[in-house]
Amino acid sequence: MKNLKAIIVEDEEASRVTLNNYLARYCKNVDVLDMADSVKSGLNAIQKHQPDVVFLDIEMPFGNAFDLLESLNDINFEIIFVTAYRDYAIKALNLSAAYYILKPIDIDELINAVNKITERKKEGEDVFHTRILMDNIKSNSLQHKKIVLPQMDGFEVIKVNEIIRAEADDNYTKFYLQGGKTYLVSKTLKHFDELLCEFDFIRVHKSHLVNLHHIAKYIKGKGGQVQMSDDSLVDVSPTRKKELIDKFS
Amino acid sequence: MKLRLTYILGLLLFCNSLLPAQDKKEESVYPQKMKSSFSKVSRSDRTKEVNQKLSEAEKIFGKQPNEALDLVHDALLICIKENYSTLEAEAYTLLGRFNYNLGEYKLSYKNYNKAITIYDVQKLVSNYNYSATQKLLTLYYPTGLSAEKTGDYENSLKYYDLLLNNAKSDDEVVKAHLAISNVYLLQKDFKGAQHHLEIALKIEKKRDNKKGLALVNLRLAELEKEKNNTEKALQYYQSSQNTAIEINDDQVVNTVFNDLSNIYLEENNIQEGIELNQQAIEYNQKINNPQEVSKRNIDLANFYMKQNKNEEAIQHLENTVEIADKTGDLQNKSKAIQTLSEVYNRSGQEEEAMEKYREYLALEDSIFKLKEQQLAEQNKKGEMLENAQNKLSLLEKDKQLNEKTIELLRQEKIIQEEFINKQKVITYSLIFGIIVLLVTSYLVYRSNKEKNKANQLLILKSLRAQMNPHFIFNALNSVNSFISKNDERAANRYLADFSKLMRDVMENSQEDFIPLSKEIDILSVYLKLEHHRFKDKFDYTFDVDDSINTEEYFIPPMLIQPYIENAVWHGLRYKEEIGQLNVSIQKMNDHIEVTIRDNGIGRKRSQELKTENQKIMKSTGLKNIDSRLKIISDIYKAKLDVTIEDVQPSGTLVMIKIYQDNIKKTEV
Repeated sequence: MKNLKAIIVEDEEASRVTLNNYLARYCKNVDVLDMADSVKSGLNAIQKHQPDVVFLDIEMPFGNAFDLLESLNDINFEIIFVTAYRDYAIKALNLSAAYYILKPIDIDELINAVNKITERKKEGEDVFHTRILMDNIKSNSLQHKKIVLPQMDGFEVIKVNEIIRAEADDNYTKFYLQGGKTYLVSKTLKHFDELLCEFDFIRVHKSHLVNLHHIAKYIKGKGGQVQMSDDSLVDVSPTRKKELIDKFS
Repeated sequence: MKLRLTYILGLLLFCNSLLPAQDKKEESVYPQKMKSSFSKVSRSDRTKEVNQKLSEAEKIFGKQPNEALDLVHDALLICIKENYSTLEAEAYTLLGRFNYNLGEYKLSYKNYNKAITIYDVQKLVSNYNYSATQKLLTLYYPTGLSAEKTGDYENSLKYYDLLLNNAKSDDEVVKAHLAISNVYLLQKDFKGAQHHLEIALKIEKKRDNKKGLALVNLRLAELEKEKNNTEKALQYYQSSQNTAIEINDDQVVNTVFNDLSNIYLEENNIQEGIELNQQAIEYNQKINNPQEVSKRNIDLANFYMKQNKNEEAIQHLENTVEIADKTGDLQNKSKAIQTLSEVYNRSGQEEEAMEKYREYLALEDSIFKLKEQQLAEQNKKGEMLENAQNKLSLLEKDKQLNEKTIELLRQEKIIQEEFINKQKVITYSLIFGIIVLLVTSYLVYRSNKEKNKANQLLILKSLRAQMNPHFIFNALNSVNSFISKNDERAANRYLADFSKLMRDVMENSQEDFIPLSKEIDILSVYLKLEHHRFKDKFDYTFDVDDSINTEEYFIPPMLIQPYIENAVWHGLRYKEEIGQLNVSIQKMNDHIEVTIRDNGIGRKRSQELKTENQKIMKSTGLKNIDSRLKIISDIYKAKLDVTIEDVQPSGTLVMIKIYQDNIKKTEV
């Protein structure tokens, strides 16, 4: 039954023990081959055991999770990030649709994450999330970062600057890209607003999120309208007009 | 800077406000001088003086009219000078009366007129001046009478009409009607005269005034006599006399006797004339009026003469001479002697007639001389009065001139005062403006300061006592690890400690300052929990000087904890072998010293160890405490010193100095 080889990289003993105990008790298919307490020992363990999944604590002394990942030539294992801090790293993880669990560990969350990875492994999918994550972390320019859009048949990876705008459609979000491509994603516009607001996206309307770099023209009116680079017109709600104009002045 | 500017402005303004003040001083000297020349200082003394002079004049007028007049003139001079209008009018009234009595009707008319003018002005000035109205009412009659005497009937009628129109009582009304009728009579306007007399009669009849009735009837009789309507005249005379006898009005009774006697004499009605005069003599003997007795005796003698009863005529005349001699009645004596001479002449006693005639001439001569003397005296008086009058009018002109100059000066003063007032208004409004400016700028400054303070307090609140969320999550993590190990006891103990720590922190986070003892409690639990997590990383000691009264010292909450956290997380945690943490609180001379010493890797090395990826994550703990310390020392002026130094071979030493006095002061 134990079909998922795992390694735990975590600096604190208590956390290592906790994770190990819970995995043994609730995720019977996970076989924890080794536990490491730093980036250095983690690297060794990964190279030694070639795991299917690594439980990786983000913050550790002497280098963090991204330092470890950078040191690897090829990432051919799934990663479940473990972190106590819901800060900067979480955004990057979300952008790349990577898996993570928060400390103190919620057993249900842990089970859920392990299940997803087990499933993905069954289907033999390529592990590219981590690469995108690494790209995003390394990329300096905000607009050159990539975003992973989950689709019915898998994932679509798009550069942020290719997105012209996104439109709400109930609980779905429709993306309009350069070249006329559109994608429908089963996540709310609010979710993407939070993800993309730091990449010069602005919510000009309850159901419209636009890329500032793709705005061609502003047409005056009560709230007005913006014309995008693909000539589409988007309504601006009066309450957000000022915020929009402030961005340009 | 702003304050200094307003201060200078204020000074400038103050100087400016001094200038008009000097002007004012000079101004005020001038009117003062003016005042002294037309002074009202001794007003009370001088009115007294005037009153004294007037009453003295009234007293002596009967005997020494000249002196009396002088006194009145003196009084008038004072009144005119001092502007005592009421007294001036009174003086003129008195002067009018004197002049009337002296027969100087023109002058008396003038005097009365002056008095009336003054009272009229007073009445005009104060809407209802009772005393002036009253005085006017008493003045109209004598004024009219004075005019009448000078033959100025027009003015006379004017004043009588005024009396009639303003009269308050029947007496006054009747008086006015009688006076008016008299003037008409003098002008031979019988109809007019009769009209007024009839009105007077009606009034007197209505109120049954005997005295009045006697008088009015007498006047009516006179009117009828004037109209040669003897029959009617006799009726009125009779009626008048009857009433007069009833009320012993001797004057009217005698007038009637006299008039009737004259009528009988004219109409040769001898028998009735004799009876009348006998009756009159009897009446006057009864009331002891020798003069009238003499008069009637002479008339009686005349009637006897007409009857050729010379004996009886002579007897009555001799009688009269005797009586007249006794009473010094020269007029009647002279007339009696003249009649005697006539009687003797008739009876052919020429010698006696001549003798009596001579006697009569001598008597008449002496009477004439006496009259002449009186006339001369009167003329002299008239001259004097005229002089005095001229003096008075000169004085009045002078006064008018003075009044004009005073008016001019007054106007000048008003203009100057207006100018000063304007300046004052400008100055005051400027000062007011500056004050408003100062107050508002102060208020703005204060509110800004308060706002600042409020803002800082707000910032302080938000910065204060935030237990590092990482610590909290880590702590919860530890609990989770006990649970995963099924170590119920340890999980429980840990949770209890953690709860205590959280409770203390939360409670104290509301305060700006907490007792040192509280902070020590928090620290010991905190250290215990942190040590549990990093058992393999460090050992620790925590010493508190026993001599410190930890209840007495107050410090901002969570002041020390972040430094310890820092020592553990960034110093000791990276150490390969087990480290050492010493926390101690010691009493020094004038302060408490908290030292946190670790032999971790030190600040420099800790920074070096961080990878690029780690640097992105920011550490907030110490930044937080720095801003807090700054704000606390700003608002509370509390003295806190924090020094951080590196220790050899490795590690960090933090020293916090807490100065008791300052902190205690601001606490309470």
